[in-house]
Amino acid sequence: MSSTIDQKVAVLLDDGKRSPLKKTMAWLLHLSLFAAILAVWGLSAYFLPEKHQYLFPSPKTTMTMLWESLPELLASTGASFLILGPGYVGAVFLGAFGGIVVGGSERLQQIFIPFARVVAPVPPTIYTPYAIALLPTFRTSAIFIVLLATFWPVFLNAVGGTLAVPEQHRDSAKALGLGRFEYLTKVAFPSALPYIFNGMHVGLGMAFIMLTVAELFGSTSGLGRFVQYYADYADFPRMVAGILYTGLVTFLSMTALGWFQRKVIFWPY
Amino acid sequence: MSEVANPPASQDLKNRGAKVSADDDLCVKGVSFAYPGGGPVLKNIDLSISEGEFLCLLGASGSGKTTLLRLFAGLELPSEGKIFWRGKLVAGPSIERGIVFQEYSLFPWLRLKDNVALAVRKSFKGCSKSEARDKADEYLAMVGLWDATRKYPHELSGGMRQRGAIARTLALGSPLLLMDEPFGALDPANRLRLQELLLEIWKSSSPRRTVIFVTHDVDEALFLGDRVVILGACPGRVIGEIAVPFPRPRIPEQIFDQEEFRELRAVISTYYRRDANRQIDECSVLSSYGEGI
Repeated sequence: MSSTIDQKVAVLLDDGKRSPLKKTMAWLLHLSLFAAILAVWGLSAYFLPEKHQYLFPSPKTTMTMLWESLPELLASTGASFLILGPGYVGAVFLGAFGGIVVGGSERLQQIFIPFARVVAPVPPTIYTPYAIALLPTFRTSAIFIVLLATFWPVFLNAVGGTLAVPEQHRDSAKALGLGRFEYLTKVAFPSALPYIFNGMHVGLGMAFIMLTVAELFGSTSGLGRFVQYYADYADFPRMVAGILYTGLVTFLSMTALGWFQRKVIFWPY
Repeated sequence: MSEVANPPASQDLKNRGAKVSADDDLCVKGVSFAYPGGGPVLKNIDLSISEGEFLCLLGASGSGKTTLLRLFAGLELPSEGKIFWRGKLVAGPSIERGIVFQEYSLFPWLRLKDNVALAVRKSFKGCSKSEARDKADEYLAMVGLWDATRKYPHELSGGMRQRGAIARTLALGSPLLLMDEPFGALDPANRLRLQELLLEIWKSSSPRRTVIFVTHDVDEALFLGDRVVILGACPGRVIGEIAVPFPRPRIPEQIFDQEEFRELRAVISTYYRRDANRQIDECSVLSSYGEGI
């Protein structure tokens, strides 16, 4: 199945049936690497000569900056999500819908799949300068780039998921006399959902990359812009805080998507 | 063993499938089947099944019994020969020929009642969504699942899932019921319960449905069927046929205890043994035989 690693990690992190002692032990282990890195960071910042400390801020300095910049970071998050949201959601709808329609028709596959093979592997970052030049506002061009980056993984996975509908479901659909539309909506779509979510996970990663890259080019707000701005002014403590914060936002978004997936696909697959 | 080594003449191979009349429900003429690029799965099958009959197709693995059932359903088409359903050539699936598969055929993302409602909306064209769901409840009650209609398949036991699958096929209203080892994955107690349920449904339907039931279990075939057609392997072919004499309603503990029942089992063994000897001569690989005896 497509998201094997995710499932294995979920099993690994599933504390449901263990004793409190084992749970505590497990959490200590989950956090141990974070603690170790924090310790190494703190110690190296402490022993670093004073003149380098500006480039390599201590955890404490960084946290202070993070706290100070929080209002600005939250505003940046809002700006970023105004791009990410429409681009990502639009791409998921288009990709899932298009993928299922194409996956359900041999003729459409003959038209679209060779094209997708050529266009999908093109790194979407390459479109960025042209999109910014072509489209009227920065926001529309950034949305377009995010959309493009998310579309392909969702689309290709939706096609794959529709082609991979298990034989017994195809047979049942035939035996029940389901028409083409009913087959696509009631059988192929739910059956392809695990694949579609796999594409959505890949797509979300791509969307964040594209978002931050696009913001480096020409935006006036946003998370990528925040980091770039303070790097330009050599305010490295703030910049590091921005990196950490962006990492956290990405992690939380991915976690939310995983939670959403478990809500939507409630049956074993 | 020796007194039954030769099956009675009336049930001999030579007499089978010879008469094919127009009023038969399902009529199979010289059907062969092979997957593209593969060896033959079925060779030259002749069968006729009359309306209201309960026919069991008994065969070891490799005898193509499931393939034959899929041909009846129209899920596959014969490489040679023809299958007629009530005089019309079978050219694809139809809800007139409902099929129950061995396992996992309910859609896991739909509640039991929605699975069945899908079938209801095919047989009662133009009925509303809520009417279809009410009807679905009725079919589920028929198989004893009145209190599980809102459950999802993964919340049910194997036996309950198969009841649900049967309800879904019943809801299609098919006059022909095709069953592909539907109880093969169940424990013996559950299997017996579902066998009796199936006979009850079959008996009470009017007009009586025709049932073709695939199994590798000799006892199951003899308990359920009016007639048992035995398939041999390499390639799949009809190697024998038995008319089951037990009156209905059949009570398992009485039937399994009869001398006649043991004799019929022995006859079936003989058919299998004869086919195994043929396979030793004709086939490079001996398929398993006598499974379930």
